[in-house]
Amino acid sequence: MAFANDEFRRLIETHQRMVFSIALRVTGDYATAEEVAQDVFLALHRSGEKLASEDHIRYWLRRVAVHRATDALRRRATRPESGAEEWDEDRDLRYFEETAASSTGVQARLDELLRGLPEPLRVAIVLRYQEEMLPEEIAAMLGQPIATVKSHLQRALKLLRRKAAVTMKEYVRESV
Amino acid sequence: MNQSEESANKFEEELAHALRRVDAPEGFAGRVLAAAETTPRRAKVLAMPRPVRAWAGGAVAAALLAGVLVQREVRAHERREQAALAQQQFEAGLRITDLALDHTRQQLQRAGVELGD
Repeated sequence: MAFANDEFRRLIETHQRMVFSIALRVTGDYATAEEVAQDVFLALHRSGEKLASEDHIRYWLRRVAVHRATDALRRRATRPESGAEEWDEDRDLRYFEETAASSTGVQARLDELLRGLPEPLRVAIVLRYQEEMLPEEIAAMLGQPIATVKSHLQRALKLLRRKAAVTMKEYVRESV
Repeated sequence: MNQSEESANKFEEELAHALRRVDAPEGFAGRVLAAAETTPRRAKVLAMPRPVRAWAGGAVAAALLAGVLVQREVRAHERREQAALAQQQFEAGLRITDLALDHTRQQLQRAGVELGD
């Protein structure tokens, strides 16, 4: 059974924050995120008859949003990520010193630090801390071994804490 | 819990707080609905369930084979009917010829003409 317009509108209104937030945090770009989110909902509209329950729809939207966002990120490839774990502290320090005056606080900075993570680590962090999914659920959704997901989460947290300790005064005295 | 664990937990809390969901852009739902109206729905493919698909191919092949055999049988039947009809026409022709010859022979005998064997 296809979605009626009212039903489709309700689904968009219910899930748009989730889909857009995933797209935004994975792509790191507002315009691309809107494009990706639209694409996800249009795909839902086309395949609506195959999705039975509300839980199934939420799971489907999350999975498709992650995949489309990573596809968009790879297409864009504006951020070289191959050496992202070889972090240039001086570069980020300069960036944060320059933007400190306009910073909107710790959360905005953590959000910014997230954008510097390699794609697989970023996806794991978004699903774990934004979507509050368990590592087992992330592994099932991404089709990865749970050990890989846990390793991504540990590496991402370590890298984020290290960056935060250097670039954010709130974390300067924290142990890394 | 030692200081390092506390610090790690605090950091994770900050991270979860920082990564709260954000609002979609203003008018997002309207734009998606408008795009859905203008985007043609993909033609629905009437896909058969997997077990049905498995034997459906065999059934189609069997039907084709049966069709060929039936057609061949029909043609053979038509040929047999044509041959039978030709046989009947030939036999009818022979009978007519025999009658004509008998009639001619009787007339000649009546006229006193002697015919050999």
